[in-house]
Amino acid sequence: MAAVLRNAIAAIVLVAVIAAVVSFTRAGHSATRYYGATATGYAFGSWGGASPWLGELTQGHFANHSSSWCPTDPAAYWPFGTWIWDFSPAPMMFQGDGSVIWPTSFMLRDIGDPFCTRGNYWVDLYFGRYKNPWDACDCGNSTEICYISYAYVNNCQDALAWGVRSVSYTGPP
Amino acid sequence: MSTLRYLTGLLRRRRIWAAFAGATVLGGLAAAGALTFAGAQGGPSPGVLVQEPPPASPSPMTLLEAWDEIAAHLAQWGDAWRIGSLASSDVYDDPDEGAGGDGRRVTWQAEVFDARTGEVRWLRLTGGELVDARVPGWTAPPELLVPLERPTLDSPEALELAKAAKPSLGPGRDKAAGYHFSYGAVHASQPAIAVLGEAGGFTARVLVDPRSGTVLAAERLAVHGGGLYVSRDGGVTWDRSPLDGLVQAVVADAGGGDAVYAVVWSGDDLALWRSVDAGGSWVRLAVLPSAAGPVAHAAAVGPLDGDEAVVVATNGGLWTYRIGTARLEQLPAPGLVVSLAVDGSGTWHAAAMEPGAPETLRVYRRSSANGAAWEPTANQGASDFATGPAPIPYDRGRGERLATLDAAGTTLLRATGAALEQSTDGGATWEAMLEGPFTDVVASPDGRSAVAVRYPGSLVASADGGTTWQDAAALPGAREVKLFAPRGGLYFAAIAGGFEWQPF
Repeated sequence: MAAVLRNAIAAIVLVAVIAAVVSFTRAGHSATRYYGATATGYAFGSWGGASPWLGELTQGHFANHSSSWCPTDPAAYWPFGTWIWDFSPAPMMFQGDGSVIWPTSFMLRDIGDPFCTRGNYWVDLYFGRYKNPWDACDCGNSTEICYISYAYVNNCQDALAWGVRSVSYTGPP
Repeated sequence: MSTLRYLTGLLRRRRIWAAFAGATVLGGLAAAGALTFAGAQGGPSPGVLVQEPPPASPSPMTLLEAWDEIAAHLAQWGDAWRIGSLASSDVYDDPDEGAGGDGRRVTWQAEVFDARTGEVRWLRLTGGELVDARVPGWTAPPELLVPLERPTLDSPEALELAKAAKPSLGPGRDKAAGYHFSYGAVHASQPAIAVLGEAGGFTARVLVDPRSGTVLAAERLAVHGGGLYVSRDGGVTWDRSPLDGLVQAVVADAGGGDAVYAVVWSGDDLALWRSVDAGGSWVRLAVLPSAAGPVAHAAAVGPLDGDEAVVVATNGGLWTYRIGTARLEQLPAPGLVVSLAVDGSGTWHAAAMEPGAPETLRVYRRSSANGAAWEPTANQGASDFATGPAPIPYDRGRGERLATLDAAGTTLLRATGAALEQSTDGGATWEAMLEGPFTDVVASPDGRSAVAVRYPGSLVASADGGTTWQDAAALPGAREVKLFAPRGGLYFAAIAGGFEWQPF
């Protein structure tokens, strides 16, 4: 009788463990580590870029491929609002007051690269605005000096200097 | 990408156990009350504040319901926390096309900040429960952060107002399926509720005043080009080519002739253009039906069904322009075609997949004979073809571009994030020719010359099979450049201008 009871308890525990695992993974908290992905940086003078969400595009946001333009990239199907984290190497980003941060978590808010020249799982990190939000400014215009109201901001130059990096990060399955 | 796939596969297999271990630890911490707001009193060190499984059957909620739920959570963190933006998301949702049609969504995300310190946090509600909260690890100058006030208008009313103002607003696709809602500032001091969807095949949004319900604007997300450049001397010198719009393909018939064809999104339509003076001038031949959409994944020219034809691969199918009869018609496709090529024998090659399923990528072939069918090949996973004398299939998802300088594929060029490389043994070994990063490389159909792009927009050219290279040109304002090599010595470089919101 004791053996039957032990087996029953063991079975219940096993079922509970399996249910917990299935529930946890099914619920969407599973994650995948991506290695060898390509990351670039961008900046611009406008308020929200191509993001359909309202609110300012800020450091900590990123863009990736659209599934309409680049259907072969699995990450192109990630929805707006997706988070990636433990990003390595962390980019050095200057803020408006001259301080420096090395963010490792990013939120998907934008799309880019309609030519799909980057590879799968490409991320484009937003380095920040480099001009007042009501002023247009082209990154390619090297003669234009763009500052906001703080001592140092040339995020455009910083974004281009980041180049095309091989990175790793954790994100959706 | 094979390394990436191997590692991600390995991690996927281990994920269940990692998830179980993580669940156990998280559960224990949460039960002890130590996890939920751990670190909330500390500085903005990056980290996870809350990570809970979403409800099994989450109930959708309105914008105001989400606002109140988040505000209640913020009150636990202190009296200085403010909501900077609030939007619905497809994360943890499985939306169909009608999702959000009643103004309610399953998942809502907020960016919040401490008005005193500028610390930023991200929150995610699913089914009304706080499932994720994260400290991204940065602060913003408090005077630059714009706190929102609780709106008077709720998302169901905003949706009604938006659809009344713009009846063409339908449910969206891509990264935001169905109707979505975003509450935030349009500019520094102008709050609005955006009702997101699609209009005429474009991502679109209608902005509504959160208090009065006045419709402020209706916008669609347009993509535009940044210009087209041409080189007629093997990539050494470059001039502007007078073709406006986003140039997505430039091709020519390998069989000869002066004509070069371009597929261009003008902002309003996708059209086929022809030049008979090597890009000196262009004439529009045909406008593709709106069902084709704005994207041309690829194009190719060659013999087809007894005629010469230009074939364009779009999200709305394959379209063929019969050059002899000037007829535009749809061509049966082996799926969503993402790359096209015609080899020297007139055989057509296509990389195609089931829509939404990149893991189904496969290479197909079709003869030029009348009514021939696409036949699958054994090659799975290739998404593009090398330029040059032979269309060698490869996977561009690896972040590399490939060109071949001979029909056997013995001498290859490869653009990578690190370097421009050459292989003389069919890709078994590679030698770096120039330090990168390089983002594109193409070879002429005769294999005699090649051009590459060094990020962001500098062109280099080689006239000796990739052995030596010379700096050719720097394209102003270029960050995303796509190269085309339609004919021997003739090259084009298209610049992607980017996406922008336009009134509709």
